[in-house]
Amino acid sequence: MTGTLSIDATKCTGCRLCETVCAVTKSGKVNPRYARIRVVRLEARDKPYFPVVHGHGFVTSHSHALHTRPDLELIFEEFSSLTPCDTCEGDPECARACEAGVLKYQELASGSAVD
Amino acid sequence: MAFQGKLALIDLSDRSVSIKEIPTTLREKFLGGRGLDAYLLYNHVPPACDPLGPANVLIVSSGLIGGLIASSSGRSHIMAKSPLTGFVGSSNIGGYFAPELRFAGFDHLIIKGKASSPSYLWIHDGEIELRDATGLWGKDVFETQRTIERELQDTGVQTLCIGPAGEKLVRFATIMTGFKNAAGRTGMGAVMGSKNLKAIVARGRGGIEIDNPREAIAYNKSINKQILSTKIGSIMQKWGTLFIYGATNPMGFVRTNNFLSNQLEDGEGLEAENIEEVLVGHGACFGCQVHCRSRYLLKEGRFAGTYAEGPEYSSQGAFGSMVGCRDLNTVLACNHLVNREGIDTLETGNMIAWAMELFEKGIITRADTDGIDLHFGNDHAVIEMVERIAARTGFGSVLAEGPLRAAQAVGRGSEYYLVQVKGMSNLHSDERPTPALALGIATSSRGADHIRSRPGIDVYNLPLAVLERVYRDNPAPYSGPIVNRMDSYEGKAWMVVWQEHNYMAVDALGVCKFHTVFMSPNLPSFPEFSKLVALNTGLSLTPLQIWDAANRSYTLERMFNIREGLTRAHDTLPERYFTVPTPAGSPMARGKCIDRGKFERMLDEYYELHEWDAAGVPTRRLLKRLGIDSEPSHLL
Repeated sequence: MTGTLSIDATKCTGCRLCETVCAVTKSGKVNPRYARIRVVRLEARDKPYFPVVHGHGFVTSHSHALHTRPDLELIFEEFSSLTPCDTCEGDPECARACEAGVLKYQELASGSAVD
Repeated sequence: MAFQGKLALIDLSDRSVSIKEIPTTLREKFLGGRGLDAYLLYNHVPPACDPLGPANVLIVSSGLIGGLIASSSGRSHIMAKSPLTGFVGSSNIGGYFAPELRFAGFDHLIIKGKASSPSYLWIHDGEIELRDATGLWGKDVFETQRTIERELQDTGVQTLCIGPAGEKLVRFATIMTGFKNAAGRTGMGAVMGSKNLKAIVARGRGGIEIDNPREAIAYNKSINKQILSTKIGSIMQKWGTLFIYGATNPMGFVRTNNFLSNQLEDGEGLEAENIEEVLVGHGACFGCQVHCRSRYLLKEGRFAGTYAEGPEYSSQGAFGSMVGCRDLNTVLACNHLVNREGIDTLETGNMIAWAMELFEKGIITRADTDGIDLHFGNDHAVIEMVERIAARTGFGSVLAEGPLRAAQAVGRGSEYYLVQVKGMSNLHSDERPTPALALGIATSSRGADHIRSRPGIDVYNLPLAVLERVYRDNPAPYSGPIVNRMDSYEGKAWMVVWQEHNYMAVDALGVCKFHTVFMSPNLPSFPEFSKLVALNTGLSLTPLQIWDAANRSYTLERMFNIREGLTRAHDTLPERYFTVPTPAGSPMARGKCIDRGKFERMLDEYYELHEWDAAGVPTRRLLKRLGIDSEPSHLL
C-alpha cells in the first residue's frame, strides 16, 4: 500500500495521544519519545502544536516553522534511532486515536513518491 | 510492569536522596496518586508540625495509570499539611508533568526539609539533582518555565513551579505548570516556597510496558467516544467550563457580591459566548480528547496583546459575580495575573469579595484598604487587589493570610461574613437550595470544596432510573433511598459518600474528573476504572476493590485531619447558610436556607454510611476491615 499521513495542524490541541499509541504500537513501550510522530510545540500562539512524522518529509515541508524551536536537533536525534513511519500498512493507529481529526491516511496516486 | 515507578525520598536540608520500590501490596491498597499520597501524608508528616516549617512534607505523584493509555492521564497530585487550613493539603493538576515524571522513573516524590538557598529539582532518567535557582527566584510562572527550558536546552522538559506568591508564602499560593494548569487549592505553593524550592523539572526516556496495549488502545477509543458523546464533553470542547455559568446563574446557584445574592442580575457580560471574541484556540492535557483549555489573547486594558490560557468557571465567579463585576475582560485579566503570580483564583476572589462586603457595610474603610475603594463592581480595584495579594503589599498581605487569619487580623465581627469551611473558601456556588451540595462542602477533607464530593448531577432532577443506575450498588451495596429532588435531604448523604469514593479513585488513577460522573451521569466510573487498570497495569482489581482502596485513602485523610484537631464541629457551613434565605433565582432556588436540624441528621447519616462514630471518628471496626488499623505503618 502506498500512502502517507496528511496532517491538519490547525486542529491539533497538543494532547500527544498520537505519540502514545504510536510508541506503544511500534516499540511496545509507552513514552512519546518512542513514537514515529512528534507533536512539536511552537511559539506561534495561533497554531502552537505541529505534528511531524518521521519519514514523511517533515524537514522540507515544515522547516520554517520548526526552526523556531531551539531544540530541533534533539528531535532529529531521537527520530534517527527509530524506524520511519510505515503508516501501519495503511491504517495508522495515530489517526484512529485522534478524535480531533488532525491525522488522516492518504493514498498517493500511482507513481508518486513519499517524500 | 506498568507500575514499576519508584518513590524518591528527598531531603532538601542535607541534599540526600533515597530511592525505594513501591510494594505491590501498597498499590493494591492505595492505587497511586492521591490514594497513595494519603498514606504517605499520614506516615511522613509529624503531628502538629508547622506547615511552613521544614518538618512538613511535600508529596508529588502520578496516578496508577498516569501517562498510560487512558483518557487525560496527565494529572499530577500534590499533598502536604496545608498552611491555609492546618488540615489535609491536597491539590490536583493537569498538564503533562505526571507522565514525564513516570518516564523519568518516579511515581511518587516525598520532599522534606528546606534548601539552604533557592533551588530546583532536576529529575531525569532515574537521576535526581538539586540545582541552584537563585537566578529564578522572583521570576513569574511563565518566565520560570522558559528560563529552565533554556538552561536545560530542552523544550520537552515538564516543570512544576511556584511564582512570586509562593516565594512570599501567600497561604493560598499555587503550584503551576504551563500557562494555566494549577494545583490551586490549600496553599501547596506556599509549602514549596517555604522549602526554598522554586521548581521540579522532569524529563524521561524510560519506556513503560503495559499489559495489553492492543486492547488498551481499543478500549481507550471507546471511552473517548463515550466522553465526547455526552453534552458536557462536546460543549466543553467549545467553551471549557465557562458554559456552566449559563445554567447556574439563571437557576440562582451563583454567589454574587460575596454572599448578598445567589444570582447576578444583568450578568450577560460573563456568559461563555463572550470569550469567542478573544479566543485563538484550545489546548488539551496529556491524552485528552476534550481539550477544554481555552487559549486567548487579551484585547483590552493594561494587558492588551498578552497571551493567556483558561479561565475556568471558578475564575468567572471569583472575578465576576462574587466581586460584582460583569465584564469578562476583568475575569480574563485577573485569570492571567493569578496564573502568572501563582495564587489560587478561588481563594483570591473570595478574599476580595469578603473585603468588599466589609467595605460596603462600613466594617472596614479606606483607612484599612490603603485607600482603595472596595465597592462591589469596581473592576479596577479587583485587579489592583489581585496584584497586592500576590505581592503581599499593604492590605493585600492581610488577605494573603487566608480567611481565618485575615478575619482575626481585621476583627470587628468580620469572620461572620466569610464563606469558608475549615479555613478554605468556597467556590462561587450557593448551596442553600441544594442540601446534597451543602453536605459536600461541609464535610470535604480539604475544606469548602466542589470537586471532592459534589454530586453535580443532583441539580438536574434526573429521572430516578438514571440516579439508580449511578448510585445503587455501583459497586458498593446501598439499600437506602435515592431521591431525585435537589431540595431533598433524603438519600443525599449517600450521594456525597459515593462521589467522595469516585473522585478519590479518579485522583488515585491520575485521570480527569471531567471524564467521570461529575456533571454527567453517562461518564465512566468504577467498572471502567477496573478495566483501565487491568489493561494498562495487569493488576486485577474489581470495581469493589477500587472502591475499597478509595475508602481506605479517604479514611486516612480523615484520620490525618482528626490527628490535627478536627472535630464534628468543623463539618459545618457558614452561619448564613442556616439563617439567611436566598433572595433570588428560580422557584427551586429562591427563599431557601439549609435547615439546621435536617442538616445535622444528614450529617449523622453521612457518618453512619462511612462507619464513623457520631463524633465523626472512623470506627475501629472500619479501620480493621480496611486494613489500616495499624497506621502509621511506615512501609515506605
